[in-house]
Amino acid sequence: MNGPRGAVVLGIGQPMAGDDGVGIMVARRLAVRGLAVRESTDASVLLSLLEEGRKVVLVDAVLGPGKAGDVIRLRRESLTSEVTPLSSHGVTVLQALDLARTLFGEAAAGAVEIVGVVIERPEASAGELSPAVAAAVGPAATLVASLAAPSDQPVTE
Amino acid sequence: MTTRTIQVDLLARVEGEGALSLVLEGDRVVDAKLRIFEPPRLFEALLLGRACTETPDITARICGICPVAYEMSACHAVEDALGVRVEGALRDLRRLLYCGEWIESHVLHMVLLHAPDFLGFPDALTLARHHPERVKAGLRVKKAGNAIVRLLGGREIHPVNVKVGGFYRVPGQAEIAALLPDLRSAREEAEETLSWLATFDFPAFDRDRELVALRHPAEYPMNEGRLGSTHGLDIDVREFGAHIVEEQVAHSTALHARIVGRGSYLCGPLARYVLNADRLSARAQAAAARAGLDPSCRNPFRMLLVRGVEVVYALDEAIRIIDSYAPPAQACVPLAMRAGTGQAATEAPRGTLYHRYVLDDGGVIRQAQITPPTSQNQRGMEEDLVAMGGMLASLPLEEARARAEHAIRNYDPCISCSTHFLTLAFEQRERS
Repeated sequence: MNGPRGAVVLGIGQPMAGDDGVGIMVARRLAVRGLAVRESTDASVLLSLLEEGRKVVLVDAVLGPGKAGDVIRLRRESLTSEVTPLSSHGVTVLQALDLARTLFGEAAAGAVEIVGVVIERPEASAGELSPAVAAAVGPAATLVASLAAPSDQPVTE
Repeated sequence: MTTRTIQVDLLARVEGEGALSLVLEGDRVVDAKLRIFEPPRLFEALLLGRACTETPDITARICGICPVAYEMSACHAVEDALGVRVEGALRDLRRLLYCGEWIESHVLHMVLLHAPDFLGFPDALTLARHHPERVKAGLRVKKAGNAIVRLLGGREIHPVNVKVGGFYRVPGQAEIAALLPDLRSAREEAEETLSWLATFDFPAFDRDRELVALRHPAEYPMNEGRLGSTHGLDIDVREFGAHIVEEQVAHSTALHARIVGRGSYLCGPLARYVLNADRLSARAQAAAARAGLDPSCRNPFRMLLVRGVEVVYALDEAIRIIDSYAPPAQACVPLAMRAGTGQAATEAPRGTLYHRYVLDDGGVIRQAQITPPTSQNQRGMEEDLVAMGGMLASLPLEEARARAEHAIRNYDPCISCSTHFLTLAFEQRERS
């Protein structure tokens, strides 16, 4: 595993599925502000980042609890019992985290912060965020940026 | 006669939202339906009235796993309508980009989604506990593919650097050469991965059915070629609509394709390999031989190995292209709008992807047709399940259900290219 570098914001989602794309929208907002950002519909990219020793702040849409537009900070344990980030392809966020723990150890998996934006059930062909979720992009970006901020390492990408 | 119904709420490791229903009577599958109930996504309608230059960016959103394929078919089809050819280094860069996508998509499927089936594991996590080094190696190979797509596409998912006529920006020699060390090590790891996959037990299940893929005079097909088959099809891609039709079926919102006068067929890695094994690089051919593959293969379960061979080839081809790369003078060729009809097919990871556009004299899209590989393969997948009746009947019920799911995953179906669940209903009727 390589040594640690700056934190990376990982936006997960599918913009063509309406609110499911909110993670991508948050990531894009932060990219404009100069943060190191990756976008993906597939959480397997998380594994590559963790193997590199990167701190990752992952932002994704979640289904409940709370109302659409709520911004919540998630722990891995809560993904199984309360809220589950959506993933549009074979490797879900939860699976990626568990794989990271298995492959790279607890420390690597612990280098992930998870921010969720609560959404209603996404619509497959909706191309825009709903008003409530769109309004949450700013607050979510603020929380993600604060979690990505360090510390002592410059953000480079 | 007694009837037993078994419901599996979630079949993971498949892309798409739908359900598979199997009805087994004795040793026969009497009904198999891959029911796609996801709402139609209407991309073809979305394209109407849009500028033809928007097609790569719009169609890339169809799939997060194979956006390059959509971009490539869209670009080639529009260029066909506009009378434009993209040659030289720009053509090579397109092929390199496609190599990146094949690597990404195939490795994800092989190592994380499909290998667990062969080893009797429920998921990739269990596989990782038993074979961590294999999974890590797979992730490293995938990462090499990601790097290609990221450099040429601007980002790994839904690349933004592709345009009709070429690219917005082309990489310099040093940028692209920087990929080489990881590609070379990935090629070795891909060969080792293939050797590991070749040790798996593959169900005996040969089916002689029509296999369809592009065939190019000099290359293993990605961006161009005539459409050929194991049963004599040999047509210009512009004749696609005269030979292949799509039909609605009651149990699916996705169209089913068939060859006029013959019926179902299959596209994808196995078809590509069977029709084009002689176009593989020497290194990929050697890897195929070591894995026990030859072009007479008709076993869809062995498509796992074919994907492995194609990963070795894609890495080999990527290295070849980069070694000979000289940046083109221009990032794209000039376009002049005109009325016309353009058609193209390229080889997506999952098979032949056909696009057809009718443009008006301002280059605005008036008709659009997109025929993805999974819709072409749906009927064939159902027929696989029917043909597996004897095999399924001989297995304990849980094993039979797992084998049926496994058979569907042979095709790495991307049912809607953006969705979530496949629910399997498995019904067994036993004669009393």
